[in-house]
Amino acid sequence: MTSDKWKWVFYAVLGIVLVILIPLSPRYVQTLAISIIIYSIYVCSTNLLTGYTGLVSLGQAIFWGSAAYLVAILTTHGVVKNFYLVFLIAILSVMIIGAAFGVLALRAKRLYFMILTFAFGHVVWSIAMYALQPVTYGFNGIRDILRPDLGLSWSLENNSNFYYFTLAVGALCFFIVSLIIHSPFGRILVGIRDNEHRMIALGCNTFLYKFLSYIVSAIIAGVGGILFAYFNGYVNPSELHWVWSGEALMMMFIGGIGTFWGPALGALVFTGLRYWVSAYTMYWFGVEGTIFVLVVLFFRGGISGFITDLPRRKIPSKP
Amino acid sequence: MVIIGPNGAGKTTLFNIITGELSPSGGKVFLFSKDVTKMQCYRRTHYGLGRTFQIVDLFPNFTVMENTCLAFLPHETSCFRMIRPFSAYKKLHEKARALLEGFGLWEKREFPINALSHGEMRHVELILGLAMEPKVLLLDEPTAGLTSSESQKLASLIESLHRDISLVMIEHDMKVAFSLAERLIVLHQGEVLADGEPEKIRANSKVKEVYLGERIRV
Repeated sequence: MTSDKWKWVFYAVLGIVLVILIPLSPRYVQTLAISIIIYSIYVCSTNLLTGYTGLVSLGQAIFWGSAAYLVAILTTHGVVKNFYLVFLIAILSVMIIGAAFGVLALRAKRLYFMILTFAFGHVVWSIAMYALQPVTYGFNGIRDILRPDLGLSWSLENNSNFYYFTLAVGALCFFIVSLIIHSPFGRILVGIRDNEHRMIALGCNTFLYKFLSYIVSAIIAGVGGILFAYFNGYVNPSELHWVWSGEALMMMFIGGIGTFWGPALGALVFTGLRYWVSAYTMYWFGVEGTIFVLVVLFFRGGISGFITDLPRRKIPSKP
Repeated sequence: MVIIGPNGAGKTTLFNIITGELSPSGGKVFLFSKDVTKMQCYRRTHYGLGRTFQIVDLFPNFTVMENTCLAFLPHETSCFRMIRPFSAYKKLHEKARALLEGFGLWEKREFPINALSHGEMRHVELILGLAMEPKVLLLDEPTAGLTSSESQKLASLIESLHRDISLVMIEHDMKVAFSLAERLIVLHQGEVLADGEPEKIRANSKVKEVYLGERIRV
């Protein structure tokens, strides 16, 4: 079979599993699937920034966590009840935070950019932890976030309905990223990743592109954070912690950096393994680290790279 | 115009100052009688300043076609569009086709840059410079690393370029330099040693002393 046919087989199987099989599965499978999709969105945002634009950020959790916290604060304190309004406020806030941090962090390059995003992460984390303790309840986090009311007769209290909702939002995010990476804008982002120096010489205002990429990635991470807050019903400062930013990078590497399906595969393996391993041992972080080391040493392209390389491996070498 | 000079004379530094990659410690840069000293690097290209690099500096993961289209993009209105796929912009591809055919690289458009020979990479380097449709094009040693027959081929290609583009070229290959130059500037230790028509430069004794005499007979 040609690779094109394999592609359609892959889409068909993926569609059947996602749309039909998972909603029919037991509740714990659905719950696991929901978290995998939400994490995929988060990793997808990291992939746009790191995999396609070449900016390594340790501050992606800022956007995920801020959006989750905004949802938690607005809904539990009863300030805004309407889901769409909450969504809009959270996304706009994340955009503003992204713009502010982006302008500052992107003045630096490479390692310095990473350290700046890391520092911003610390600042935001300590704000949530200490400065805003009356609203965020510090270390205890915010509990009892209710599932959103979409204003339809279709209730999201039902787990499989919430699954469909998450799937739709996730598919939309992946679709948007797919449009972006294939557009002229996206080509320029990859050009900047591969050779920023030349892009400048060709007349490209690289700062502006990196800035826009940073904001778009912040928004997508924010969407993930919003879904997470509603799904989990509980938000605590670890959502803002840089460890969670680092885990996004790890999931991206495991799945395949700079590949379209990499984030989803990474989130799948990561979440699936965590679920499975945690049943036997407490040392999830050790297992996670070991897997990461193995992937970086032996599968540079991650799972996605490994799969796309398979057909090539089968071809016998010419004499 | 061709700039020559021994190693360390400051030829590439001069280019970097003209394009804005380095800022001068004194003096001003004028582009079409507009003061661009403080202007950012990428902005200068929009006033018609293009350049190529001494060491091949392309997008190795992209194909020849994609490299060429990428060079058009920053000057197109479509550069911020995020929806329509890149491949749907037919006009860009037509423009790229015309350029690539001129260089005989159309057959190899789907080749990634890594798969090209060094000589072909040098051609793509020049294509990228031309794709920006510059009024002034700075060529930093376009023939670096080429065999003499390849250099001659590239030189005749450069000579056949449109006369609308002012070419400023750094060149080490004296044959190429003297055959292409209408005006020749010799740099030595950061200073202009001589400036004029090739014939005059050839006769200049100072130039012979510091440069030509010790390296190449012309």
